[in-house]
Amino acid sequence: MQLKRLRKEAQSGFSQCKSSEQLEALRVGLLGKKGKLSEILKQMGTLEPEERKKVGQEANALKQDIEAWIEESRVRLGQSTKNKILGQSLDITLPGKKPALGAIHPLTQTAYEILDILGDMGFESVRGPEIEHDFYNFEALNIPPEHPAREMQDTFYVAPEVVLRTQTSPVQIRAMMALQEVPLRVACFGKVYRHDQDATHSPMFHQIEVLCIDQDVSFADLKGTLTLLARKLFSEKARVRLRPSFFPFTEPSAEVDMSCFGCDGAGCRLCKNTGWIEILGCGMVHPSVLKVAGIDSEKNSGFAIGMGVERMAMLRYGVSDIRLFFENDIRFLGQF
Amino acid sequence: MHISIQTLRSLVDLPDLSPQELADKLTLGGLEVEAIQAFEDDTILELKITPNRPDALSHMGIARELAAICHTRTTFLAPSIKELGGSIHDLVQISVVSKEACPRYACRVVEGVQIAPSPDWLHKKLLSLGLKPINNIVDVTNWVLFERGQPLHAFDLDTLAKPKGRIALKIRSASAGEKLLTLDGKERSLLETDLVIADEDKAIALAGVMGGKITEVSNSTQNILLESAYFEPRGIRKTAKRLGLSTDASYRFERGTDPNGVIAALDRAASLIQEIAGGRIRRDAADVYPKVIEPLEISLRPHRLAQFSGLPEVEPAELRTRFLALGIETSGRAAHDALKFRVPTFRPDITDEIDLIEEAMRLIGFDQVPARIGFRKSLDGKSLDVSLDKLERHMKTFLSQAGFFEAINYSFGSPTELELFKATDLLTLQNPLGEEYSAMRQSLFPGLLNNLRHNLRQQVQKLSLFEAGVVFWGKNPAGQKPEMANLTAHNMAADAYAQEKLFLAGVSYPGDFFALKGILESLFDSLKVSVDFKPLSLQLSFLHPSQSANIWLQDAPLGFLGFLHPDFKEEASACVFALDLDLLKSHCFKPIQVKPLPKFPGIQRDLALVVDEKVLAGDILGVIRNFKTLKPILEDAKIFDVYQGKGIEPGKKSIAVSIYLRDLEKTLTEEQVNLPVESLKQELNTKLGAVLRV
Ligand SMILES: [Zn+2]
Repeated sequence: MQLKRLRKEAQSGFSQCKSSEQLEALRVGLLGKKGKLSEILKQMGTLEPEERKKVGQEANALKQDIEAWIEESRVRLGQSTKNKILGQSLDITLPGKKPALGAIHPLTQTAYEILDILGDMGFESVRGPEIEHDFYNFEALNIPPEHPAREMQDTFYVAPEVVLRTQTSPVQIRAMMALQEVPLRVACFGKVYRHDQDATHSPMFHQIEVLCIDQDVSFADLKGTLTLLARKLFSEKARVRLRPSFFPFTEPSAEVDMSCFGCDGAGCRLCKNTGWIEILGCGMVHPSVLKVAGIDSEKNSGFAIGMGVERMAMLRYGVSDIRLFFENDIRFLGQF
Repeated sequence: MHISIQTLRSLVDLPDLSPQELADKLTLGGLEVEAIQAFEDDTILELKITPNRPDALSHMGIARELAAICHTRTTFLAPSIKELGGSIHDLVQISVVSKEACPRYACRVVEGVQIAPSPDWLHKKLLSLGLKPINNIVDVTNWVLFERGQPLHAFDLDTLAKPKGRIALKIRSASAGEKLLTLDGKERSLLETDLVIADEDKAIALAGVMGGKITEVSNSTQNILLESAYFEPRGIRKTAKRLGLSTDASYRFERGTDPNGVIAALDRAASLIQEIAGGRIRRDAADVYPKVIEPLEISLRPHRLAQFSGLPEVEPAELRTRFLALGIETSGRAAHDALKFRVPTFRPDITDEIDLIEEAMRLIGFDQVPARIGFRKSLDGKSLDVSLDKLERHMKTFLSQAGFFEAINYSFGSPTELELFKATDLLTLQNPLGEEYSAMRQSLFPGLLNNLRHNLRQQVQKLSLFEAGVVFWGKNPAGQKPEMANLTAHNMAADAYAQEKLFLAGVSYPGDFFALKGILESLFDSLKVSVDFKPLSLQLSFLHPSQSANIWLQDAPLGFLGFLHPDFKEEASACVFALDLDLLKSHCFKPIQVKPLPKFPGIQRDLALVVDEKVLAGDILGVIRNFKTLKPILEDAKIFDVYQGKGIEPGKKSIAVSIYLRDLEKTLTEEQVNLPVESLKQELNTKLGAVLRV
């Protein structure tokens, strides 16, 4: 009799249950250690065997039903919570909570991109001192004192024979002297200094020096490397043109023009209607430079490339005044 | 340099090309045309000649280049001369004292000239080249210089000392302090390294650079002495540079003129003078040329050319024809299939096989070389130390994503500003752009603070900047000559002379110490480096003394973090930091060794400790971390609350700390934990006077 009453009570309890807290209370009240059903089962020991069997079966059936009702109620309640959540909406046009974001300097970004392209071609990044001996900055590079080529570079002096490097090329010498073996493929990104200041010249600027030495490296390899670099950095369609030029530490030396990415060579304002943009200087490493560094110039040859990072960045981003790079105005830096 | 196309056409058989087409040919041949201008019925090309090509500093030089480029020939005429009267040797005697500095000196005498303005054709030629016509004599010398590249000088013969009726010219070093009034009207004080032309009494010209005022050709000049010489380039350059004088003559001499072109130019000028200004050319040229400079003979191996250029091998016959157009003649056959060439003395840039290879490539055209990448890709396992680059890049990426903008400032700054940041052994420039750029920076802060001020002026209210850059120390302030280098390390700088270190510094405005510290802590976590932040013990006078920290990496000072000193006024509300990347480099990017995930549960114990308010949170963590009894099971300890106020005695504070314990081998039991934690409380009490908060 107790069981029948309990069944009715439970049934109505579950059907009226409105929340998961109520449901849990119901469950504990029925099936918990001190729950009603548990109490009934505890008293069964006092019954006759026949009676005990019957009540046992009935109680078990009720227990199974209660478990089923709990499950049903759970599903029912879950759905109503879900519907409630689904009913709530967000104004997704309100602003997000942005973490503060800065930026890497455009010169660094440009240099990293170039170094990465070179890295894929097997060029490793090296560094050299910014305060250099005359020996590395000039003499080892085939620029003896009184050489007219020194006029091309106005030099800052720290002491007699100690200069602020005017180019990253001394790193060529240091890399060759340090490694002494081929193949040698290095790239050096760094600051260089010239006694010069106006809208297109800064007394400090950045260069990337590229050096490749191995058996049988030819001018064709240089041209191939430059073509790949121009295509990856500027445009898939870029072509390069090499014009004979003069640097004391390379021979032959060349100035490199790239087909204008603004007009693809047809002529526009960017290229002053020539279809070409001068991007860098390069050449085959002069045998006497190899000799200074202790590398056999009969067995080995190589090329060197020197590029101005500011020039590359100005071209890429359309910057016309070099001084913007060193003002560090957040309105400029914030655009990168 | 200016080149007249009309004059060019008189010197070389040119195909029918427009000025632009001619310019393009020259540019692609390595003689860059920077501008094309019309001048009356002529067209003028403006060329930028590289310093290795003195031969191209004249119309004949450019004509020769075009002949080679266009496969045509030059039409140069050998100068003819009509001599009259006695020999020059009866009148002029030359003695070259400085034989090394002046390998060749020659002159001619023209008597009875009529000084007048130049005829129209010459007048126009000079104007078209941007030169100022002066008189028919000077104009001829200038014109021949631009025609042939040989500088000439005309003296008024009657201004030269003539004891016993003879002029004795001396080419000698100046005596120290010797004075010479040059053509530009300036009195020059000379050194022993300067070369002069002198008569018996005095210096009359600064050799190869500028003539003297006293012996200048004037309107009353009747007789002239015409000089043509070859001076050693280095000496001329030294003098010209020291005096800050660059003349058309010195520009050419210092790059190298043709010692064997001296007489042709002299004769050309003498006969032009005769033609224009009348007069008689005395018989003979005086010519002191004791040691003839012979053309060099150089071998070229065609296979080396092919290997070096990537061009297909060129036929010897073609090479010979190509070179001949430049005046480079074949000179028999050298050993081993090499070709031998005789290089004319007007090409001082060609001294080796590599120079001939360059000439050949230039003539064939760089555009004929294929583009390919044939070099080996692998580095055969050799590798360089790139950890500094990797670290720098990592930090830049991290900081830019944490809200910092990268700045780049000049490496030199004002010594006064640098002194504010504890400069020692500042390295200064001998020739700075100005006082404010005269010292190599030893701190990145002057630059960053300037950037901060600049941005604050633009109404920016919040700003975080960083810069990574080399800072410099002088190692040898006595100015001794530096020693040669050890060649491997990055920071050996100019070796004995300077020390360079790569630093990264930042500024955050307005400053929030713990926000910045948190960013740095995350940064160090990302580098897997553990550092200690400790109260300032290294004297850094520009920092707030009690709101700043030294950052230690083991026992070495890695950097610092904190508020600027209130002396900085406006910027004092900024927080700054600086880190030594050279030091940090050797401690990060260590290979990762994964620890097994814990198999057994850990236990957390929270302690609320009351301590004197002077006790630092770090001291408490230090005691916990170093407490031996707990060490085997201590996983971590963290501060989670600091409290002062109600319920806490004044002068004291409560610090709450969570201690995480775990045994890697088995499940920790309460007994295992209770005893050591009890003795930890004891230890905290003994060492820091900490009592449990009740
Ligand atoms: Zn264009």
